[in-house]
Amino acid sequence: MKNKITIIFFLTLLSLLSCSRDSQKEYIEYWCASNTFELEFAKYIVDLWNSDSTHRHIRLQPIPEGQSSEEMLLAAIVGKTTPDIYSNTWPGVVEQYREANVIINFNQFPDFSDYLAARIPENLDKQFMSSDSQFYQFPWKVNPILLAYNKNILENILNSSPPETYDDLEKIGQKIIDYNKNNTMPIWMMDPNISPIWYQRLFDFYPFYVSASQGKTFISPDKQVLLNTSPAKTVFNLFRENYTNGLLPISMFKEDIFLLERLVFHITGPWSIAHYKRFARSDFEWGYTGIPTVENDMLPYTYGDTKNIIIFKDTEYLRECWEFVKFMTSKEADLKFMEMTAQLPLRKDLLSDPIYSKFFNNNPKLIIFAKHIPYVVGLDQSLFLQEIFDMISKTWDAVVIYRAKDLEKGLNDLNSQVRNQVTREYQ
Amino acid sequence: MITREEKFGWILSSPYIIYFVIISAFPIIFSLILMFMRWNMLSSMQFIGLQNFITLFQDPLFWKALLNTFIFLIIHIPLQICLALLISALLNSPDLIWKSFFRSTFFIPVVISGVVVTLLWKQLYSTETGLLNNILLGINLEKIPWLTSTKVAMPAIAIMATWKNLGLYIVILLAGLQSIPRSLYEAADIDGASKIQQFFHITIPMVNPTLITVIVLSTIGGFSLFIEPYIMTGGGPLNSTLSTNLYIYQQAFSFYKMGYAATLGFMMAFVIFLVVMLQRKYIEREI
Repeated sequence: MKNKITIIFFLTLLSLLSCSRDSQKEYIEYWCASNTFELEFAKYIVDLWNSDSTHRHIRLQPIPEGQSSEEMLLAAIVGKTTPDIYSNTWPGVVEQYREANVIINFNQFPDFSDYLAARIPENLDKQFMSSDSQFYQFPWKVNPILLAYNKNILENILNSSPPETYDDLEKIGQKIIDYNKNNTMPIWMMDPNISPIWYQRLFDFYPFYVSASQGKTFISPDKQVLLNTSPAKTVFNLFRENYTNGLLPISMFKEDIFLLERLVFHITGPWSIAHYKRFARSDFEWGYTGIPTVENDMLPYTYGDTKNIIIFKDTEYLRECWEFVKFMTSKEADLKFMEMTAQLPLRKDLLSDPIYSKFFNNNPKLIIFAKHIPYVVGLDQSLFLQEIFDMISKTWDAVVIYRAKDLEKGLNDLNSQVRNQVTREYQ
Repeated sequence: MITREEKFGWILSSPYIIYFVIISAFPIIFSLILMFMRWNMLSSMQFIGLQNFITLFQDPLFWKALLNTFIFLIIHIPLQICLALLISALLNSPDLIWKSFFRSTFFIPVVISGVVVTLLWKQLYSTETGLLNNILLGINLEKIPWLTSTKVAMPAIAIMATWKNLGLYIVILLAGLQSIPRSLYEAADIDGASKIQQFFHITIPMVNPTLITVIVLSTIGGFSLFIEPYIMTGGGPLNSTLSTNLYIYQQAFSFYKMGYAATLGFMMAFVIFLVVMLQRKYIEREI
């Protein structure tokens, strides 16, 4: 009797285990970002898709909470528990997933190229192309990084207008210095995060770098590293001088000092609109302006901070996944996405298609972000992008914030380090 | 042939054996293998022999992180032990009123989440808007760049870590102090020994085994310094608060160098073993 019970127990266990691994999944699993607004949009779009009985059913799940979505995706890849679709991918990791052979190539769909060309600005497609000239990510949303400015401080106290060039910024800097001489409560020009964590440099060094280089990333197509050239020197020097003159605080803040009216500018993306609307005093007025250019008549390039859609190779419903990606990036879906999240889809027709005009009339602060879409710049396609940004961050720390290293030497050393990394990668 | 009794013994110990194999043995063996591999978790492992060890010995940041960790320990351990001993002696005093209140108060930081404590102290330490610098300015003193000066940042972290962990060591030492027979102090009183003489000639020798435990625990705890620099400084300024654990974390989870991170981990285990052995050898003899 005992033996029979043991056999039945193990057989049940085995069958349960085999069920969980091998049975064919009847649905598509879709992971979205876990923030409230995007989750609501994802629910809306999935419900709409599922309401059509001819569609393969989609099961939605926000990405599990963790330190970062990249870490959670990595854990899913290692544990072989990836979803079929994920919609908030940072382009900096796509090359690693491609190399690991875990994501699909969108070029395999016959209508992909036409669909992409109809959607995104012509000059932007290359920044999402992997080193083998194929697309492993579908460009979805974009957050052009601009300068938010405090209207009261800039216009009334400093008697200035939003800066267009480095010269304008320098003049504003001088006015801030003069103001601070006569006031006990100082104000600062900006508040770049001084933490030496690699991704912080995406929100101070990098937007200014792509503006100074007029849209070029720091690894050239022939794999030359350009971090000791004029654009990098100009940006490092700008911030270094501003730190030295006390225009940028060497301090960490837990509170939002832009809302506390201690800052003239804050480097940020469109997500700040909802934040300021919610937390600012009712009389607080702010606006947005592009990253200042080195000289007049330069184009307003900036970092795009795009987030894209990937499809994992393990999916059993490749065709249906692609159909869903098109469904959630259609004109109507993109309008709904903007309405529900106040974020911008990466489209070339946002300001020209009448379908979106009502939305922009109701949300005028987003217009400047939409205008910058043709000028957003992505990242270099590298397997070691985090490490490269870590090197930049350490040099930024030594050269710009603490002046522990000479600018020229610092950038030459940085360039050599990054070049060694790039050379190893392409050997 | 296994007897019925032996079988029962295996069944009873099986939960621990399963736990040990999954949680301890497997990760240790896997890490040992990883030390000779290049692996980013995405691609398959690649055998690279002793390359990770060569990299480690040529990596200035690792040695910088190790030095930083020792600086932290040099400040943190004596500060923690002295304060814990002093406060526990005070809490053990028969004349003290509200004993339970004080004991609970000192223990509260231990039970608060490390992340919460660190975030609070980060706010206190803020150069421009922090409470500590506001107090200093209020009494006409200069602001201190608590977390943004290479000289001050690690001591500031050590002070915070001491505040956070002090309660635990107070409780351990208090238990040690309470086990000292009162008759020894009464005899010393009769012999005319002062309170200070009693402290150095009765309390310290009698609490010696507990003190060694506290020093060893404190050292191991100090080597695991991670949350504080991770949240407060990110290892800056100029890597002055980069601890070995933070460095290992960065290698593993920011740059996905699992093999190298495993090598660093084993190196740290070896360093901790060495330090604890040296402590035991010298402190047991001295105290």
